[in-house]
Amino acid sequence: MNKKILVLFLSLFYLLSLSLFAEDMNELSANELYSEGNYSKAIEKYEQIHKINPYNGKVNFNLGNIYFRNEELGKAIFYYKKASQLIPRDTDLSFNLQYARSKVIDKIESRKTAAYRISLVRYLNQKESLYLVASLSLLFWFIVLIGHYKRGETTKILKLITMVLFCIFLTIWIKDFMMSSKFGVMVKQCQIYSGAGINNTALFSLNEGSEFEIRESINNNWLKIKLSDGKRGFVENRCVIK
Amino acid sequence: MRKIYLYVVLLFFIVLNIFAEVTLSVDKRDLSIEDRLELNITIKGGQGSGDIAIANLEDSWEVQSAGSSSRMTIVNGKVSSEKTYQYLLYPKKVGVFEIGPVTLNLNGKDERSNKVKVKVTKEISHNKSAGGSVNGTNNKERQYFIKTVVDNEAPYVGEQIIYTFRLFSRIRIRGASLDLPEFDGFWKEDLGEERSYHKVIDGMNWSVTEIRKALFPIRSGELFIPKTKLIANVYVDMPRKSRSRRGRGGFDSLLNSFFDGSSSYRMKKVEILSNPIKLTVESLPVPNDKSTFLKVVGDIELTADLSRDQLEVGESATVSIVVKGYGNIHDAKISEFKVDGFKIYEDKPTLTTNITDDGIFGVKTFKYALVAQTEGEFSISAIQMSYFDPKKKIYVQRSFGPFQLVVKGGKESNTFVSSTPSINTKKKLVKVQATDLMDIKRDILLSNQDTYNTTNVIFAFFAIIIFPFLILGWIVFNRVNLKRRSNINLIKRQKALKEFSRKIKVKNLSVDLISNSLRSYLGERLGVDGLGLTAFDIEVKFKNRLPSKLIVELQEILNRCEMGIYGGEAIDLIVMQKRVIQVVKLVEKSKG
Repeated sequence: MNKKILVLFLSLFYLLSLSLFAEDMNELSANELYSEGNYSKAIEKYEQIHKINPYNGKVNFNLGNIYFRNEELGKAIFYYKKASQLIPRDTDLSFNLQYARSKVIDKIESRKTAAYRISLVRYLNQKESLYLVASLSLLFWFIVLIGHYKRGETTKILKLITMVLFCIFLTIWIKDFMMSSKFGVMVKQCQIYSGAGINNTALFSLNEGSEFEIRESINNNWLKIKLSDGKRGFVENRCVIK
Repeated sequence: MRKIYLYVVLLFFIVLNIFAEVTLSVDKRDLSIEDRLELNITIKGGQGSGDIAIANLEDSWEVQSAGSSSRMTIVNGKVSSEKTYQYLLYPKKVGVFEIGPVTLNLNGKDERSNKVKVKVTKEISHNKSAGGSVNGTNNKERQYFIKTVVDNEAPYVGEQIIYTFRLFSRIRIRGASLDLPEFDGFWKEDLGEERSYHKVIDGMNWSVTEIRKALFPIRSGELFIPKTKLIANVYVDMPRKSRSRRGRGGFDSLLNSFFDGSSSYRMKKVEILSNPIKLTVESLPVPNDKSTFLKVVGDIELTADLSRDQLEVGESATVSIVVKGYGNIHDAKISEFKVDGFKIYEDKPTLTTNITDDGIFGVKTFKYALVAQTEGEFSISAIQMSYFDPKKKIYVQRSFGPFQLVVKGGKESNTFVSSTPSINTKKKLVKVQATDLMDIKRDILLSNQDTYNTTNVIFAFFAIIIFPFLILGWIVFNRVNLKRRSNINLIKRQKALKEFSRKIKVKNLSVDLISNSLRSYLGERLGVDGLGLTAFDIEVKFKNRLPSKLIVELQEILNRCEMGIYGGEAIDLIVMQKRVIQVVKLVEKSKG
């Protein structure tokens, strides 16, 4: 009986390591294809990896690189942006995203106020920001507990500081992660219309790589978008990656 | 050729802007003899008054003015103005015509615009492969249709062809969603933005929306461009019978008059399909010399040059090879470039493209830096290149050079040779030769570790919601307990006072009674048996709780009472009673 259990356990372990090995092999062959310059095949492999690991910052970064090499600027920027939400402090990623953005034809100047631009996303991802807010909360209430037994000016000041910090970071976290809209990136040059339909007035056009917020999806074919300079309009789904 | 100028004399006042710009534009380049051309002359900037003259209209066009519009913008304090004059031109004969340039005379100085080439045909061209839609059997019946065409149905591999999609409509169309095919087997590029214009076909005026793409077949054989689908909502005329019979007045007549005086409309969802287009792509003939073939097909211009012919050892000269024209310039590739005696650094090729009416015009530049290694006179052999011309159906060979290069020795140092190596104190800035992406990450831990999981969420929920509640609960519990304890002490004190007041105010007073009442009261306050309290106990137990004077007073009273009980001393009971009551009041006030 013991032998049977041991065999079963070893088999399960073997299968698990095979699956992990298979994933690793997938990644290895994708990297080799990339090094050889076979970008379209590398994309296929990495898309498979991405389906299983959509929230892995390095996988998104690599996909961005491959799409850039494959001259699909829009998709490259999209995956770089996704990666920057996951590994925001990665300097290679910042460089590559900036480099990719320098290739975008459209110049769109942000009209957001300085206060609105205060953000944690450049330094911390969603998980880390949540940890920060939670830790500040724990610290604040811990000081309250100490202050209950040992009153003094020091505990009052510490309470005030931690409370202010907690409120600030909580507000920023809500703004960055709860209230932010989805983003999209153009994958080809397309017109932006005043309504959902090509017979509406063409307001302006956007080139590949231009970024925007997605406000609404209409009929599964059209998206209502807003640029950072305030311009709004409607664009066809086929022109966008989101 | 004698030129006939059309003069339009204008008087206008333009806000100060030194530089004037004149642009000539038309709504289409291809029209039928029944059609009309909308011509716009846009004048930006300028000062004072001027005349406008348009060259080359001759007697081939009938011209009708369609008004003008002007616009003034103020950006960062800078004022600029723009005026546009619209004309309708009706062709009198078929042919290819060049209209313009427009000459604007501003204060004695001539400003000239661009020219435009326009082709007038007898009817819509049918000799290209066309995929039309089915919606009625002739133009007179149908109200909308789509047409897809390519300008060449038998291209070579890599040859640029133009795919045009046109939506023709005579009624209002809303919410249109276009599903263009994927163009499998082609490399594709967009040719500018979508255009809208009007066209007359068989005497009927159509509103046209046009989208164009440049396609480059990537393999030979039969290729298909599948159907193009358009889904839209169209306004269709309702039959007269179905109109409301409620009468001519009221809401219905208001609706009717809003849409049209004589009919009403309803919206209908339609799906319009074009026919697929079949292309026969020919493969390229075998080139005479594969090594010189750039893999480019089209109307191409090649150039190659050397930046300098004299340099010193260690310096570099640049060989630039430019491939430009209408074709698959993006595919241009030069096979290995070698020059003996030089170290060669290859720059990443640059590609720029411009969208024109004839397609994509590309310019690809290859640069090679040749760094001289040794002195001498070198001859760089001729650079041979070739491309395939699909119109002539031949490979066109071009040769550049040979190039002569003279390399002189580097600058001589001083003759003194030191036994210690010299230290190079003159530093150079690191020159950036190129910029490129950082490489991919090769050390990936395959998991979704960069985002939330259940543990993180639980921790956050605990820290932000649960933990504060626990702390607050603990604090509140503590405070309630403390209050309750202080209340018990208060109750005890009140009970002691009440008991004392009852005992001390009896009618049959005695020293014993007074002494016992006081002792019981003090004992209740202390939580001990008061009857056993002595004067010494009072001092010890009330030391930090009562003022010393009060303690002394209490001791004296107790001593006098003992003297009265055991010593037989005569004591005025009433005075003693009053004194004891007074002392108890003072004790109550002190709250000890």
